[in-house]
Amino acid sequence: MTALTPSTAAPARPAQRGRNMRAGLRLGIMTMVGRAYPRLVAANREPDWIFYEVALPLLQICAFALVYKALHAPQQYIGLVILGGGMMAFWINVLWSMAAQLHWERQSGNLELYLMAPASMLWILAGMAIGGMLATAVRATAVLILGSLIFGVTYNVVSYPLVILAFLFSLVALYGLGSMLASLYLLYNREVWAIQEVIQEPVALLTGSYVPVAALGPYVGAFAALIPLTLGLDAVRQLVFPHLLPTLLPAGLEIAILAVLVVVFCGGAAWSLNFIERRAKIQGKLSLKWQ
Amino acid sequence: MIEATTAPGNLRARIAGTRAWQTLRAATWLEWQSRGNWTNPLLYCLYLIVRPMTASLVLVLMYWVVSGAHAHGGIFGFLICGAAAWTFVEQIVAGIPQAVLADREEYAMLKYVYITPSRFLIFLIGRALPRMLIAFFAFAITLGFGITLLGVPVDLRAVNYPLLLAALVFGFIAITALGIMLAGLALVLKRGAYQMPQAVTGALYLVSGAIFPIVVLPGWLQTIALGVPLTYWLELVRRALLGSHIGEQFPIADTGAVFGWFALTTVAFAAVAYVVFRICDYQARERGQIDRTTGY
Repeated sequence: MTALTPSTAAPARPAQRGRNMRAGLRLGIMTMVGRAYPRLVAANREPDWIFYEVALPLLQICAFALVYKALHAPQQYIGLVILGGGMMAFWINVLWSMAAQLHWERQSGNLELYLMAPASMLWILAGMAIGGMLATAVRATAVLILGSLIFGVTYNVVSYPLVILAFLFSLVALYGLGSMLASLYLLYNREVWAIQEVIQEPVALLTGSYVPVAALGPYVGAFAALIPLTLGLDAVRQLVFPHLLPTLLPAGLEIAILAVLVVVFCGGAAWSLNFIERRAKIQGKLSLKWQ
Repeated sequence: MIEATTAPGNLRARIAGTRAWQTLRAATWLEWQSRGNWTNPLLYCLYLIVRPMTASLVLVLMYWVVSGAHAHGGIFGFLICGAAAWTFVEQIVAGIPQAVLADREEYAMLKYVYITPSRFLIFLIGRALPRMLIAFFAFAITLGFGITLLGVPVDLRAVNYPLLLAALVFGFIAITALGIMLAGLALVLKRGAYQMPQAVTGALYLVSGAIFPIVVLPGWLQTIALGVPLTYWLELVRRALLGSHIGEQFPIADTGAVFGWFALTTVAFAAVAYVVFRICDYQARERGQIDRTTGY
């Protein structure tokens, strides 16, 4: 009875809230680590990833680099292709292992388990993103090193902190975009799959993965800047090939815009996930397979 | 007596022919539906052309950024024709194994295909037909886009249509054979079955000189390139569309000789593909891999 009196209950509430918050945070972090684990550890248990995830992008990079070679382009264009190919590895990972992941989870029956679990889906997506980001970083680094060695490309880095900042901001924003796309799979199936197939190449075009994005012109370039990869790539290229390639905006400004995109896409992912999850529950589409 | 002995044989042949036709028709329709029934035809057409067109645009921008905006000389036409023709390879070589794996693992219906009286090989050829049609559509649209808007130097009155037709028909045989062989391999692979066709397509993209003359490849890779029918196929498609002068950088100058090598490598390749497919098909049935699930 004494616990219900205002004098004793009031001091207990913030403490309880604090405990709840700590427990929620602990659960969230455990969920995130649990979801990141298979991507970081289990995926590397099968060595065939070395072939498929390093050799495949490398083949594409070699093909585009040889086009520049056939055109007698300066060496920095081959470097541009290698950097673009390395960053494309993250885009492919976002598309097929982040955005499409909820499709796989639904097919295998895990999606219902995720939704029943006490932790928020955002923690699960964060785990997928962190795991995917780190695992892809290993693969992209291998692609970058091998590509640079094959074609003899050298880099002249202006500022390592700025390169790291541009790279990290573009990755976080990109995985935020991936989380937004992932939420679409709660409502749709093959339509989103087809959209993903379709946008893979146009994104390579728009983000300037194989050509400087400035070649697209200011208007298309401004539109392309909505995709985090565009500004990230342009900023990194400016910082590793200074004054050698046409650029869209100064690197500092691009990094500032990327910081805004991080907030927009991560916030957007949280909002869209909540909104679409609720709609999918109402429409009964969460467990709908083979549609 | 003669009639009595020959009639059942004729009947068997007729039944086999009817079954083959029915299988081909059903597989073609199944593939068409599974590829396109998620949306309306207009959106589906858009879906089909976006990828090859943007792939061509990437190459156009690469060319312009080095050679100057709106230049059309050198290997400009070479790039676009190669990128447009590559749609056939992407659709079939990477597509048929994916379709077989989806049948086995996602829809769990491959075992039902196997227990029908139809031949699995004919079923796979049927699955390839709509993809070939789709690829042809994307090829024509990409090329039309290149000619009208980007200035690809193809004079439609000067195109060598018989050569183009012959190259496309033989190309269909080579590409389908490769797709079927990879479908067989995908059935028996324990890991990486989904990625393997893409890996092969990626390697061929590089080796067959889809978007650059093979002379820029290192010597040992050029030798490999000349053993692949797709190298000759792409060269013939380009020569038919752009004229024989485009073949100046190709190691074989005479178009007849290129066609001869193309026919020879295609026949050899189709024979190897058939043998590999039969072995994989047998192995998959023996090991109980027809209804195996690896990804779900």
